[in-house]
Amino acid sequence: MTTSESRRTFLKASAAAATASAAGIPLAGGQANAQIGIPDISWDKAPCRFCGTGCTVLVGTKNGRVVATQGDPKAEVNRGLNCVKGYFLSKIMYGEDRLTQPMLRMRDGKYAKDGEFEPISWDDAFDIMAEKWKETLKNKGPEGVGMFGSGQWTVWEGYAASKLMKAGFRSNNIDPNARHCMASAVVGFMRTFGIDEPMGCYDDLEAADTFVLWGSNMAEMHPILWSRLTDTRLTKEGCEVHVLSTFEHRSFELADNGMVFNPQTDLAILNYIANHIIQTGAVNEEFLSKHVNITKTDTDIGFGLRDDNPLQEAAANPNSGKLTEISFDEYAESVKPYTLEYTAELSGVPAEKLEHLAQQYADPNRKVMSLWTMGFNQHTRGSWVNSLMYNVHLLTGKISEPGNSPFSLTGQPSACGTAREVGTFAHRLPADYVVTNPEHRAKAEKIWKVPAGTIPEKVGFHAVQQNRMLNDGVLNAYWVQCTNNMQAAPNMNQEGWPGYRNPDNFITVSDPYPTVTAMSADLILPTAMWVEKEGCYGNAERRTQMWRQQVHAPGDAKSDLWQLMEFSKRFTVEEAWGEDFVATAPEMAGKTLYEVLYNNGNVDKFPLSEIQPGHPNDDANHFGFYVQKGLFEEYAEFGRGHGHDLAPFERYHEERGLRWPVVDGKETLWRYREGSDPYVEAGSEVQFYGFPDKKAKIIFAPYEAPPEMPDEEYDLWFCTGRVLEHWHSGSMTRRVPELHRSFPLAVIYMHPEDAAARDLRHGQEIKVSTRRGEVTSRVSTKGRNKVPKGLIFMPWFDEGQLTNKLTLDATCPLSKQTDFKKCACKVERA
Amino acid sequence: MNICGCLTHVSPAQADAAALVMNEIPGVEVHAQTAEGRFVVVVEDTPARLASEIIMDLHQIPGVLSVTLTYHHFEDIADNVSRPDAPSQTTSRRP
Repeated sequence: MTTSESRRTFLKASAAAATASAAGIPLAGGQANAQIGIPDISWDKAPCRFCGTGCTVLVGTKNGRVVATQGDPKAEVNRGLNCVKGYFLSKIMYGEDRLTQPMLRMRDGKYAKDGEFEPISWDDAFDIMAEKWKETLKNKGPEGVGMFGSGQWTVWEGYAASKLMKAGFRSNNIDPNARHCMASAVVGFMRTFGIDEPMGCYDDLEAADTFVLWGSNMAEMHPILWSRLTDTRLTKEGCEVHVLSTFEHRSFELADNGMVFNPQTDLAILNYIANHIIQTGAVNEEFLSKHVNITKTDTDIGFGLRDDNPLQEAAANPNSGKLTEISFDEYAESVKPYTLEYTAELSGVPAEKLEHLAQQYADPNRKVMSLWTMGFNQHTRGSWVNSLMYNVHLLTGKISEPGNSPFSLTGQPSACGTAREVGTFAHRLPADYVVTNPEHRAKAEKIWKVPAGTIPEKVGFHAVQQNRMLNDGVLNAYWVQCTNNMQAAPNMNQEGWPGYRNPDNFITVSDPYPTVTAMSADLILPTAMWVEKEGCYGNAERRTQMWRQQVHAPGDAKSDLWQLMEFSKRFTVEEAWGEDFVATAPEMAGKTLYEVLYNNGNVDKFPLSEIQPGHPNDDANHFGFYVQKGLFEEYAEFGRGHGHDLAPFERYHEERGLRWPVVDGKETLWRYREGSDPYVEAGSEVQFYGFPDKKAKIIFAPYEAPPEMPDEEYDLWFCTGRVLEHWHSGSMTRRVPELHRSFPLAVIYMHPEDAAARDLRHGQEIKVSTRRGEVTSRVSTKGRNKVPKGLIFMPWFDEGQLTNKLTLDATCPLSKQTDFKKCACKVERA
Repeated sequence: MNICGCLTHVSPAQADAAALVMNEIPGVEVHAQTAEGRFVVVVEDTPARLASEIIMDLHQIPGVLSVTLTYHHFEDIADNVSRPDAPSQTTSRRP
């Protein structure tokens, strides 16, 4: 059936009207205020499923299926706009190969590690899985089981998972994929401020005079925030945009000062800016003396490689994050070697460009917003470089007020809300509590109503370590949810793949699609996604937002929450905790983990009658209570009165999200500033209350070279990243035909002279190799990314070209986040 | 069939030239243009190219700084019915 011309014209007018109305642009013919009235479609709000920006879209459903989306004009984040991924996002649920049944590797009707996937029932799936987990618990104890989760889990899924691992299996071996994207940002926040997440918010995008992008390609990765920034640049007199990267990308098109620097020299550039501020007398001395302590960090700390790696053995202070107090004069001496001349030489950025950048930070009359993502965080000195950024803002007092804002952007929809705030890391508990602190553990045990001593003190295996421990046969029963970590984790050839396929291990992967990770598993569980369940995400500006279930999941697909809670029914406390520990808490004897963790009077507190009429809620109906509300309210107890206050559950269904802390019903836009943040005492102006003395820390760290640099054989830098059309590993966006067609296969961006030197032409097939593996791809010497000589860039979305066969599993030794941006490679004609 | 409403930011100095280029592209209509370089652009599928591909092309026009969508309609999809009982597949559709 083709659509008639008149209908087409009507739909086009609707599209123009919606766009004009969202942007506040008058349309000829008075259409701007026209309501879009398409019959039979019911609309409801939901945050986008993709990045950490946290846009709200209106989702249109018809006959139990999502059929349309539009920008939500009421959403403060995106104001009716969405990026190209956001607009095709309702198609992500309808890929042809959606999983609808559990699948187990079998031969002759039985589980076999080397068998072929065959469909089985949920009961049989949990039977074999529970058998393997019980066997591991018996033989290895809690250290032998582990879980890998996600910054795409809803808040209550991450919370239920963390509870299941930390209190249920008494193992801290749970870590999220956010380890790959945000861990350095977290360590930066914790070391500098003692509390996680940005102090500012997106409102800074209209308030700043200068924007500086540090290792962020916002034009492609955060297009909506980029459109807000662009609007400010084009409409505000004197506004400037500075962009730093190791290659030229789309964000450079708006740049007044674009700078391509040699990899890793961002450390030096930030110290140069601090030196410039000090040398030109631009230090805000009053702010510094009242609100800041000055320290330096231990140096020569290794590269987060395996302990027996020669580079690790050569380090003087491996993994040390020790801070030593220093005076201002000592600090000034430390940054003094970073002169303009030295830094220009080291970084390869012309001196006048660096100086112009430094002047933006030093000028007391310019408000500066610094923005960064993976260029900073995926860095073997990622924790250092995050703090070096804060040093610059603290020296000048340009922080915690509109437009003066060091802002760490996020890549996943709930890296903040779930991974960080819920604390699904190997060392964390909710609301910035940590497992190593006995008071924090006691608080969690009290809220969770589990016996004292349930939560182990030992930090569990982080993401990269989990793959190493699977490989070594230390970790044997393993569950991956909501992430494609075989494709995403570094050094797949030497760690990830041999780890999953180690015959000692039983790997379960929950996903909506047969991803590379799912196909590497032993058991695949089909997952309900996005608006097939009620959910809650938290974005990069501390905004917590919820959505209701709008359609049913296909076939037997179930939410991660359902899977976690159903699995917990398979274990008695005796099986999970051991008889000895149960003996210390006889009132728990004979109970299942489900009864202890979720039937505890908190999680099952709210009846089904509280569910919004007219919306399905498959999870709540299955368990017989409003499970999402119960989990949220129990979780919120951790943060209320502790700087992480969340509003009552219902409020989030009414609002387009609220930025925490939410105190007396009011959200907080700028933290640490009197008048804006309710935690700051009257008369104090600014309080960095994450630390007892309410002061932030300047942390000096020097430039140190990365572990693997180009040499004679591997003569090029290898840098990986993303493109506009695809989100992360492409498991969703490659199933949207429009997005797949617009960027079907990964290419390798190379400088034309580097290509010519290898006798390569644009479009030719090439072999890229590192010390860890090789991948076949095609070379691109033109297009959106212009790389400098000596560096190639490869996007990692394409499962046909597994980028992470090549990467090195070197991490920041403090954050344990991988440096996906720097290793050495060579390129040959295929 | 896809119909998309896009807000496009164009460098003001190049706005008029960009508008000319856009209006020449099949499937593209510029519905409004402000002095600050903000365009209301409607993009639809053509026999040769999908709306999404045309949107990607818009990025390549000199002066175009950003393209965001505010409205997307895909009517033919709406006519499909959901298939909750469809058999699952054991391998990815991409080898």
